[in-house]
Amino acid sequence: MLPHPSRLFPTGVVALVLTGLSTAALATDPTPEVATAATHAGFAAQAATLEQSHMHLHHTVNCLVGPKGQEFDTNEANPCQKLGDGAIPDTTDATAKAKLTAALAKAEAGLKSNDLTVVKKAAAETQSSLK
Amino acid sequence: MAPSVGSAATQGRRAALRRLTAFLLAGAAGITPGYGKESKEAVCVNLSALSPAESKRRRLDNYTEKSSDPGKTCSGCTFFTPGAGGAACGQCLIFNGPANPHGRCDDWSARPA
Repeated sequence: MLPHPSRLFPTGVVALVLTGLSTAALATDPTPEVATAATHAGFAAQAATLEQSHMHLHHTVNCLVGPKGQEFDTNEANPCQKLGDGAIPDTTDATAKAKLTAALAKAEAGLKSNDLTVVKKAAAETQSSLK
Repeated sequence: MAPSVGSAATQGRRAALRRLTAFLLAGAAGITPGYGKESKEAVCVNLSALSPAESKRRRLDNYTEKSSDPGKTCSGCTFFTPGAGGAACGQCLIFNGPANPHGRCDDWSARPA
């Protein structure tokens, strides 16, 4: 004979709470990824040459989007490879995600330019957006 | 009287021998530049042995086997993993390859405490 539904209710609630807690525990904190992305944007803003500035901006983008991201460049390093799946994918808060996406757009704009001054300015703006 | 051709050749040989002896003595005394101390330190990365892409990445990032700032070396960098089993060379996350614990590059970031 099956137990009465009212007896199942507390068990179900406990199971749901435990599932929620374990999911929260497994979620990656994107803070170190964001910080690393900002650091590399800072390197790009201080770079001496266009190639160096682009290289550091690639690091920023790779940190933000993660290895599964469309903008991820496998030819460039991913300083965040041990930190998570990318700052944007690992961010659950919609407002924070939008902020990171805006920073990504600035970094991408920098990568499209071949003018060192423009690239460095974009990098500085990216860094500011990530702070 | 002008010196003979044979005597000039002898003097040339003697001068060459003197230079060779001086070089060997200097080497034995360990005062030849680039010899001695450096030979005892591990060389973790030979840029000329890397692929062009890897070499370029390190060049762009100003990787050096020996940091000019003792407070900022690979061993204190967040991207560096020390070599297993006390190995002299470690691994760098930025270059996905070996790095010298005494080295440095422009991506240096302090390892969190």
